[in-house]
This record gives sequence, structure tokens and C-alpha cells, in this order.
Amino acid sequence: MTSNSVTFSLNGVDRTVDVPGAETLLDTLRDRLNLRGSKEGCLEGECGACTVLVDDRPIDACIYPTAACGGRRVRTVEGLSDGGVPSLLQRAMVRSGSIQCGFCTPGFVVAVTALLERESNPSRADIADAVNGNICRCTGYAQIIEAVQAVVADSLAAGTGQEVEA
Amino acid sequence: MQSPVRFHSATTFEEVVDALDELGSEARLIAGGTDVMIQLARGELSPQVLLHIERVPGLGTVAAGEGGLHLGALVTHAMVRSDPATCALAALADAARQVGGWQTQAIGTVVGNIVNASPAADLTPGLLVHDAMVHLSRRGSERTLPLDQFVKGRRETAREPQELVTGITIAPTPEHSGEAFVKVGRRKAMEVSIVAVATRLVVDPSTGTIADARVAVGAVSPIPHRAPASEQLLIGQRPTADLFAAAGRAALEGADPIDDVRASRRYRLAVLPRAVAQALSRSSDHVDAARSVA
Ligand SMILES: Cc1cc2nc3c(=O)[nH]c(=O)nc-3n(C[C@H](O)[C@H](O)[C@H](O)COP(=O)(O)OP(=O)(O)OC[C@H]3O[C@@H](n4cnc5c(N)ncnc54)[C@H](O)[C@@H]3O)c2cc1C
Repeated sequence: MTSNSVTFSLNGVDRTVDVPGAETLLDTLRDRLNLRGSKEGCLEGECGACTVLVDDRPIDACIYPTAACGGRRVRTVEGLSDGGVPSLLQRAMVRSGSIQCGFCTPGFVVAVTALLERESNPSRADIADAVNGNICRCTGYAQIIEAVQAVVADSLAAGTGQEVEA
Repeated sequence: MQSPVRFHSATTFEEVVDALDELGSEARLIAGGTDVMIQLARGELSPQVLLHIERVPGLGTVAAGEGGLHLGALVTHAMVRSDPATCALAALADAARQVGGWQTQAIGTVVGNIVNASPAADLTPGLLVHDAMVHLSRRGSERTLPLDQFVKGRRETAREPQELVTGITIAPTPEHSGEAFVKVGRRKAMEVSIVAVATRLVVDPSTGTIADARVAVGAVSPIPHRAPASEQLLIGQRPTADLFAAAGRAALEGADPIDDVRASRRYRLAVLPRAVAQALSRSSDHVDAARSVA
């Protein structure tokens, strides 16, 4: 009576879960579906470490109800690499020193992926704006933004558009 | 921790108003959930049912129509930023741009922002400047209220438990007007406003004087409100920095801010006049810019 059976597409595969009405998507992903890439940081939508895509929009999974996801397309950081092969963006982030403790990284990868799916040539300001809901306490953001700029420059040079989803 | 709340995702308008009619205050409407989910987790709410409205068709558009621009109940901050009709309205678009982060803006709704009725709700000052009207529906009837009669207090509105807010209409923007939104926070992103100000000036091109002035302030009293003393001081005058400074000081009338973790009452009172003056100066620049384009 107070639990909901919810079916949604998770990284391309249909999954059905039985969840209490107010369960967050983050709890469902981490504790029921064993996808621990989305991190539990502030639990109040402040830090962005739990960012996932629902129908291509970035949301904080820690404050979004799983029961609202029925029939929708959920993508997590696990779905953005190809069978463990990091995406262009992930590789650029490693190269540029965008990752120190790494806790915030999945959230940044997801938010930037959403940006690059919309915008093939974002400005530095667009990039900064797209990650304004993601907090990083190690890098000072500069390397993260540089990594995104590098991916954008590479994919424009290659004339292939963005291939962040690898 | 998890309260045994039932979640119902409605797919039609009728389903929503029928459920509200039956359940009244036992139902809690949820749109983007960016306020509701946090309040639930904190134990501030204990509804029987979360009545989810994100799938209800027809509520998610910005449309020009009779009486002005209509924003449906599911219009998000991200849409206000990007829709050509609203992104031209700086008092709204610049506010939407500064609500939380992208994740908040992507799903957080303008209507949720006003119904939640936080003293620091960032969209409310801009909507006040634009004479926003709030449309409410319940089974078998509807009504419309001006926004300043809708918000009654901190987390308090004129909405009856059986009512759904279907949208907001803002009045047509006059010619020769310029507007602005100024938010004071401790950092640029992800901040609850310490002071928020929206202003709009209409300058008569033949005389160069201010024909109409709107000043609305947030986070300095339980309810965001217009500042009539500032507005009266401005009307009929030529736009100058001194005038804007005086209008800023006049906005202190009616301000009764609190001390909290973000800022002291003293700081809010010190910064308010400057924020108002800055918003007026930007509004005036926007009038000039619009004229030089025309
Ligand atoms: C990290 C974070 C940062 C934030 N930063 C800001 C900020 O900078 N400035 C700011 O102003 N706000 C901020 N907020 C608050 C919030 O995002 C906004 O108030 C948002 O606009 C609420 O919209 P929603 O759709 O998420 O509302 P919900 O949480 O779904 O609902 C909010 C309230 O409105 C009611 N409601 C919703 N839709 C309707 C309807 N159609 N009819 C009747 N009642 C309805 C709900 O029952 C509830 O009481 C922030 C929130 C988070 C999580």
C-alpha cells in the first residue's frame, strides 16, 4: 500500500523496483541496485555528488523520489563509460588533474555530459555555469573546466561533434 | 527515517483535483520536489500522499496570451532562463539563473518557489514587479489572486488544501522599460539570498523622467514585498545615482530582517539600500540599451 512498483530504464536496461513512497533515487541506486558511482554527499541537493540524468536532465538523486521515475530514462555515471572504458571526458579529466580525492568526480562527469549533449561548443562561462551545482573541495575547479575545454577542442578539431558517451 | 507515505504520480488534471478534493491537506503536491523532499527528510512534513504532478500535461509551457505572459505550473527555472519570452525579462531570468545549481533549476518550478513561500524565494520579487497573478483550480471552480495577496507569510499562502496552482500570468511589459535582479549571497552559486531585489523602471523618452518605478525586495521580511516609499521617490524624477541611493535608503521602510546563519540583521539592513540602488542603476542602463537598439 505504501510501496510503489516502479519500472524505469537504467543505463539502457529496464529495471523494476519496489520502493517506499519517499525513497530517493540515490538510495535506490546505491542500496537496491548496487550502483555506487553516484555518491552520497550532503543529502540536501547542495553538493552535486549524486548527480544523475533523468530524461537527459541533471538532477540531484539524493532529493529526487524514485517513484517519480516510472517510464523514464535514468543514466548514471556507470552508464557513461563503455564497459569500463572511460569516455573522452573521463580521460581528459584524468589527464588534466581534475581528480584528487575523486568523491565529486562522478557528479561532475554526469553534469558535464548533460552540457555536452546540448551544446557542442560551450564557452568557459557555460561550462562554469553547468557545474555550479557541483562542489569540489580539492581542485579549485580550474582543471575540471580545462578538461572540458580540451574535450570540446578535440572533438571540434576532429569534426565529429562530441563523443563523450564513447 | 523513511515515513510511510504513499506516492501517486498523476497523469491528468482531473486526477489531481479529484485527489485534492478527497484528501485535502493529507495530500502534499510535489512538482520538482526540491523543497518537498528536503522538508520530508527533515521531518517537517508528514503527508499521507505525495501527489506528483510532473506528468500532468498542459502545465509546462510559457505562452503569450490575453492579459500577458502565462507560465504554467510546471515551468522550471531552466525554462525561464531559456525561453525567449522570459529570458528577455531580467527580473525573472536573472533570478532563475541564480536558484541553486543546474540540478535545482532543471526540475525546480517557479510555482513551487512561490507556493513554498520562503522569505528568500528568489522568483517572488521579480514576479511582484511584473504584477503576477496566481491561478488556482479545484474541482468545479477556479480563482485568480494577485501574488501579493497569495503569499501570506513565511511558508504560508492563501491556497486552500483542495487547490492546485495551475500557473501564473504576468502583465505585459510596458515600452521604454528596463529591469534587473540583484542577489546578495556569500558566494555566487548555490546560495540562499541574504537580500534579493528586483526593480523595473519605465523612462518617458520625451522628458527623460521616470514614468513608473517598481521595487520589490526579498529576504528582509517574512514576505517578499514591494517598497512603495522607494517607488514614490523615483516617479517623476530623472534617473541619477543620487536618486537611486535615496530610493535604496527608502526601501528600509518595511524591512524587518532576521539574524540567521547566513547574515545578521545589521548586515542585511546595511546591504539592502546598496542592492536596491544597484538594481535601479542596472534597470536604467537596460532602458538606455533598449533605446539605442530601437
Ligand atoms: C540545493 C538547493 C538550492 C536552492 N536554492 C534556491 C535559491 O537559490 N533560491 C530559491 O528561491 N530557492 C532555492 N531552492 C528552493 C527550490 O529549488 C525552489 O523553491 C523551487 O522552485 C521549488 O520548486 P519545486 O518544483 O521543486 O517544488 P516542490 O518541492 O515540488 O514544491 C514546493 C511547494 O510547492 C507546492 N506546490 C508545487 N507545485 C504546486 C502547484 N502546482 N500547486 C500548488 N502547490 C504546489 C508543494 O506542495 C510544496 O509545498 C533551492 C533548493 C535546493 C534543493
